[in-house]
Amino acid sequence: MTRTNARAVRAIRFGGLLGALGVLTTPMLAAARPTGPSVLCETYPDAPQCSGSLGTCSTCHTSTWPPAWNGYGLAVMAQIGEGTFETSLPTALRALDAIDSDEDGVANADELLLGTNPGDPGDAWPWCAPETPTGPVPVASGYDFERALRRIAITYCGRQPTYDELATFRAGATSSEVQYERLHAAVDLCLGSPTWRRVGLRRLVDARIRPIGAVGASSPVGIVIGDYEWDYRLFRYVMTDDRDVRDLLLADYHVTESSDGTLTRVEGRVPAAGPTGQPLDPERRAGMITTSWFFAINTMFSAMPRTTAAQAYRAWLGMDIARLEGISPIEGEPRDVDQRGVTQAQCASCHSTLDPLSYAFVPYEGIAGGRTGVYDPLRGSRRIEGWSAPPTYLLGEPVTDVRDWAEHAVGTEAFARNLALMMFRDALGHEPSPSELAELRTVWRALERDGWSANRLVHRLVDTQAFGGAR
Amino acid sequence: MSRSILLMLTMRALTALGLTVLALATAACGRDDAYLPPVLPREPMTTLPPPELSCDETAAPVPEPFVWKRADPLATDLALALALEPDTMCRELGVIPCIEAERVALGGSDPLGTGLYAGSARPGLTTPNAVDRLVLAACAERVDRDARGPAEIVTEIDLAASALDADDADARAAMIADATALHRRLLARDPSDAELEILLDLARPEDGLTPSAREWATLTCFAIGTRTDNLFY
Repeated sequence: MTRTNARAVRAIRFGGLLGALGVLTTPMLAAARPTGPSVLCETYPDAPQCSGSLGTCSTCHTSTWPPAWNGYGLAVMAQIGEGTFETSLPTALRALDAIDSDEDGVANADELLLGTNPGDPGDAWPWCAPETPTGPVPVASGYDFERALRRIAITYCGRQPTYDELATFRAGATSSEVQYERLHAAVDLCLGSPTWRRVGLRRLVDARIRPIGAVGASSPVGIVIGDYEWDYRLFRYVMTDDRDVRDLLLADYHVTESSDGTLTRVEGRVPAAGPTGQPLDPERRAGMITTSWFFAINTMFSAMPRTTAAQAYRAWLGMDIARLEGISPIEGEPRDVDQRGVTQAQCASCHSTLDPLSYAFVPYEGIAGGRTGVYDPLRGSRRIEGWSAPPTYLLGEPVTDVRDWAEHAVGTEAFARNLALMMFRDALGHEPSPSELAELRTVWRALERDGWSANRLVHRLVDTQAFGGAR
Repeated sequence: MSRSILLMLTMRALTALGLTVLALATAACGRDDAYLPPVLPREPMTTLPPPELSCDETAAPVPEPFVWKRADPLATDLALALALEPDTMCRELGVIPCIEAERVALGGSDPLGTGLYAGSARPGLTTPNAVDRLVLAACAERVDRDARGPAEIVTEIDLAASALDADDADARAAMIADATALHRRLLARDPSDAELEILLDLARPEDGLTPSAREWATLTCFAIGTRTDNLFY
């Protein structure tokens, strides 16, 4: 063990004792420092947790309140020098690059660059980034075309290929170019299939729409708070036929469906007697995050729609504030506009991001009968005493309203990353491993070049080793 | 010493400990950076080069090899392979389609019913039972229909026979033809010779019991339909 390493281990052990004491004394301790993840990402911009994301507090912390650190976090703290926490943190982090703080066999810098936690001995992945394909087709050597075909068929066509279909796929396929061409023809075929367009895409977005059958438009008990079918149709429309996926957050239109499954764009408001319509003027629309159902299920009856903003952030940018992801604190926040006590240290570490993320959503009604989802510029002053419409921030940037929020969101790498991750999980059933993250990054970074098409994204996903690599 | 006195002494000890901790905490609050661990003496900082990934290919973990075929594609594939209707090939109590009754165990989601927006991450304890239930019922249904005729899939063996003799050339050929057909339909591939031998062995007497032709066909279908390469991809 090197001298520096031994010092870090001592820091960990001593820190562990202090951490235990900290647990007992937490109510009286000072405020947390949620700027850590963003400083870490400025220091390691190529780290997977910083690519299209903001990193998480769990890199250093086992808990932010009461504050407790893992071995890496304690080693970092032991290195903090003169100056502010933010200015001295980069040097402290880099000083530990070659050290293995959690003693799992992988150095801290390697863990950060691979996407594992340098403070968690159970999280290690001693692996190398995959080589770039150099053959005539953009897949690595050893790519299993038949295995990929089976995965394409089951994921996007809803069934495995038949014996005869496999025989046809093999017939005369003497080169990888032919196999590649046939494989991607199968992708096109399946992405156009009713199974994918009507069923697969619905399953893909369930957790983001969060329907509740009991209070939907077809409520069996007669209690209707909204109609989530508008949300499903919009998602399915945007995700098919090479449309621009940024419309997930930018659409100022709605979508109807005919009995044969054809989806048609409709402009303007959709009036209804109850909460099943879409009451917003197009200039107040922002795709999936301004439907009536979105406000009904997330804002509900709350004056300050924190849940709404958090769900928009989680569902479409892939960052879950409740899991300490996407923490991007704003100076002077949280203001505690509704006197909920969120300025307390144990709350402020997240609410300094969440509250300024939420202000723009205040003018939109939650559950309010026929007014559900209505835009009312006076709602803030009606519902929140002393409301002054403080500025909204998304990822540290000021935004003027929800429309602006959405325009900023689709311009971030987080938006593209989130879409690619959604498709990856759906196709492969697991979170990308560190060895898969590097090639997945190439997938989402190509989204703009590919015209923001979800179908093109699937084609690129199919090319990855994760999808078709040999067993 | 009575139990109540012991309890009282323990409570006093705990109270003393709590007060000590409280005193320490109050003292700590006087410092701006009180929640930080103390800064230990350290080496002078040096300028480090950018970090580079150090590869260790020998220690590379095995990539995730399989994807779980969950409720809907599993049921669809079974129904297509056995030329049955997904809702009728297996019904619990003769009423509820197994695919609905066992949806969660089979890895499916149930967003509108129970609010389960995503299936479980991996197969659970009851998943094998649910898979066995679904496949066995579907296979039995297929064999029943073929026995009633006209046969669609199990067409070569005599489904009315009380037993099949795998050592008889004609019977063996018929069994191989039906097993191969089931293999092609359920797994989209031909069986190997070794796999065929295992399936033919299912017709041999065991513990004094000899399977009938229908039982052999059902077991063969079940054995193929519950193979790993049908349940994962």
